[in-house]
Formats: sequence, C-alpha cells, structure tokens
Amino acid sequence: MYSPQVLDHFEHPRNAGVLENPDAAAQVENPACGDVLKLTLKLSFGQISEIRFQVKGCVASMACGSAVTELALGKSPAQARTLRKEALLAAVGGLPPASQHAAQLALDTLDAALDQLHLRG
Amino acid sequence: MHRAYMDANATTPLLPEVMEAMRPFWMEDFGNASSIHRQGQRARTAVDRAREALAEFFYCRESEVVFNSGGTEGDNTALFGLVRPGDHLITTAIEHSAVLRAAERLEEHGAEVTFVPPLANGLIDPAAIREAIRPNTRLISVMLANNETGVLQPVEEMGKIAAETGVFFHIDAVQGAGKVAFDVRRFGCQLLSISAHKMHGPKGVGALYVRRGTPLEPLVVGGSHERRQRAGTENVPGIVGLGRAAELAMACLEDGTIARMTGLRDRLEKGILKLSDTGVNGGGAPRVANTTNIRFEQVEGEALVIALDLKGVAVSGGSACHSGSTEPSHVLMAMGLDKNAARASLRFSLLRTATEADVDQVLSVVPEAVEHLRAISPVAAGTAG
Repeated sequence: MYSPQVLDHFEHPRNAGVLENPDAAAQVENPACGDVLKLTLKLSFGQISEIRFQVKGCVASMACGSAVTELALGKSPAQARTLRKEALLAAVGGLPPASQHAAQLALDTLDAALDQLHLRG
Repeated sequence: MHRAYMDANATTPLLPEVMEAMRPFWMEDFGNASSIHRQGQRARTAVDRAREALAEFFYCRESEVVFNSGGTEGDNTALFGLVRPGDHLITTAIEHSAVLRAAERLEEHGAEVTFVPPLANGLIDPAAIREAIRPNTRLISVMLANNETGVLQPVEEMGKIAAETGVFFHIDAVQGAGKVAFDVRRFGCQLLSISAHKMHGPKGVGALYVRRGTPLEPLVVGGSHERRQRAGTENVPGIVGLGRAAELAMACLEDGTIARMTGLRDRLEKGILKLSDTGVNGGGAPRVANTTNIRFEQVEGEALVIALDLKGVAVSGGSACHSGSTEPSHVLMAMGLDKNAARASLRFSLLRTATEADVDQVLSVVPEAVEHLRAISPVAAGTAG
C-alpha cells in the first residue's frame, strides 16, 4: 500500500526534531484528519541552511514531512516557494489516493514558515 | 522474522482439521446438494452433518440453522427480514456496520430506529433498551461481543426484556463465536448470526439461527434451499468447513484454551500498560478472552499499526483514512473518547493458537515503536505551539 520510499522516510525520518532560535517556525493542522506538522528552519546566506520537522499523524504525513525537509534544504526561500506537490509526491514514490492530503499538509506548513520570513523581510 | 498475528478479530486462518474436512468437497465430492444422484447425496450428507454440528453449537434444532454467506448477510437478513416501514428497531451505537448500515437503510424506508449509546466502559445498559421500547418496536438487535473492545453485552437480560415485551431479539454473535458458549434459549433470541472465518473456518460462509415460527422474510430468494429461508446452491465446502470449525470451537471452550488465551491477553495488556500514557478501552467490563483495545496517547494509530507491521506484529487500528478525513472508531467515540484518543487506540486480538512467543514479540517491539512516534510528535512532550 505504501511505497518503499514512504516506508523508508517513516522508519528513518530525515531532519526530525526542532531547531532552537529558528528564523521561521510554523505548525499546521489538517482540520479533516487532525494530523499536525511543525517545521522550524534557519537561513544562512539567503538559503535554508537547516530545517527540522515534527509530526503527529499517519505514515504518509510523516513521510511527507521528512521528504519536504530534504527538498527545501539548501534552497532559497523563493526557490522553496516553487516546490510543487508533484515533486514531493515523486520524492516519496507516490501516495495512495486517500493519503494525498499528506503532501498538501507538508507544502502548506512549508508555505506558512516561508510566510514568516516574508513578514520579517 | 517471526510474525506475531494479533488481528484475530479481523480474520483467522483455517485450522488444519478444517482444511482437511473441506478438501474432498472441491473436486471429488463436488455434487450439488439438491441433486438426487450419488454425487448429490454425498454433498447433502455433508451439509446435514454440518447442520448437526451447528445445532449443537447454537444449542437449537437442526431445522433452525440456516447457512448463508457470513455475518453481514446474517445481520442484514435479521433486520430486513423482520422490520417494515412504520416499525421501530432498537439497536446500539456500537454495532458492526453490517447492522448500522442496514438500520440506516430501514430508516430511509420509513422505519424508526433507536441507537442506544453504551456506558463509558462499553457496556449497553439493559435498562436503556427497556426504556427505548415503544408500542411499535419490532426488533432489538445487539451484538454479543464488540469487535473492537471485546466487551461482552448482557444479552440474557436483554432477551428477558424482549420476551416480556413481545419484541423479537437478534444477536450479532460474530465476535463471540468460539469464545463463549452459546445457548440460544438462555440468550432468549429468535435470531443469532455467526461467521465461519472468525473462528478458524473459511471466509464467505456463516450461519443464522432462526427460532422456529419466527416470521422472517428471506433476503435472498430463488430456489427452495435452506427450507426456503436462503436461496442459492449450498457452498458445500464452506459449510463443511464451518461445521468442523464449530466442532473445534466447542472443544476449545472446554479444554482450557479460553483460560490460556486470557492469560496471554492479560500478560500482553499488563506489559503494554507499563508504558506511560496508555489505557485499556473497555477494560472495566466483562470481555472475551482474546481482545484488548489499548490507547497510546499522542500517537496516531495508523502510524503505529504500520510501525508494528514493519517489526513483524500485525494489529488493527479502529480508524481508516478516507480521502484525507480520518474517521475515528464509532465504537470508541460512542464510549466518550475524543477524536484524538480514539485515533490513538489499537486493537490486539489473539488467535486461539497464539503462543507466549507471540506475546514476547509484541512486548519487545511496542515500546520502541511508541517512543519513536512520540519523539517525533510536536504535540507530545510539551513542545506544542
């Protein structure tokens, strides 16, 4: 039911945790299913130099939280903004139809974090 | 890797004796039990023998056993076969969807339905059933054992209430079969449904006890099979398997198997409860021997199911994700758990053949899996907000 990539992220989450004194932090809850994703990130020389995630949710939400940190790391906020759902889905080897919302939660949380940078800007 | 299967309430494997009993009826003794030639007679004899076993299992007459396709059909037949527009049906909020969806359809077609809620421990109070009775109440339908919590309902008391008030009584006994002794007279029911695959028999076959004289309209019409109560060529291998499974289930009720299962379940439960922020749903009520439903606060049940599966332990969560909207268990919600607690709950249900090694394996992998999920959660350990 889940791809090997999803299960790999689930068993071996990348960049799990929370950063102290982050440049941006966002926590978003999917109101439909109650999954919660939190991202904290730091910028250095205009790039996302560190990013961590925490999640309470299903396997798909955990995998997408983990994968979105890998995709965002090293990118400028503007580049990170352009991250598409298709790219995230590709990174986790696809999701079952009922779990597609997990990718949206990850992108929404990333957007919410990037909004903070903009507001501070 | 040794795999510990802890999902017996979902389904069970055939026991070897059941497989052997069924084997001849696929190819050699393949006859139609309605045919009068030799092949047909052999099939008929086998079906009759299984019917004897089921009559002993239910503690009823052979003519009161109707073979069908399983628990869902039995539940549907009981409700659709007795309740008409204008009638009133009493059932409970914690029934299997085979009863709940049938009750909702009856409502759409002009029947009245009362869904009695459980107490916080998962028990249905018989007094609440009595209070729900109206002049037009036709049927009470209550499950014997809940599939998620294992809580055993006081069906005998309900049967007395039904008898006193002249209301028909159906018991969905799918999750009680092979776990508690049946006696349909003592239960006071006119109808009782079971499924073979929950007690080490094959899938796709079950039986409905129909007390003589019950004006039950058949759900499936056609030929004159099953005394015109259920049309369709008999599933001879399946019925033979159900009969053998029923015999083995009766034996296990008397040979210490139930006490052994209780011991394993209790050790499992005690071991898991050593973890912080855990609790048993329905723990305060009488339960079948093989089931425990455990709440792991701050954990998403689906993630824990998959984490345990990857470590060789098969369990079940109460909820399923449907297009981004996780529906928490209606049973646990009716018992008063909030959505998060319901979604954090898992069911462990042991096979009759479960071993100490199975329990050891569960206890060796659950703590690590729970801690992994809690460690990564923004909600646990005070990092929220």
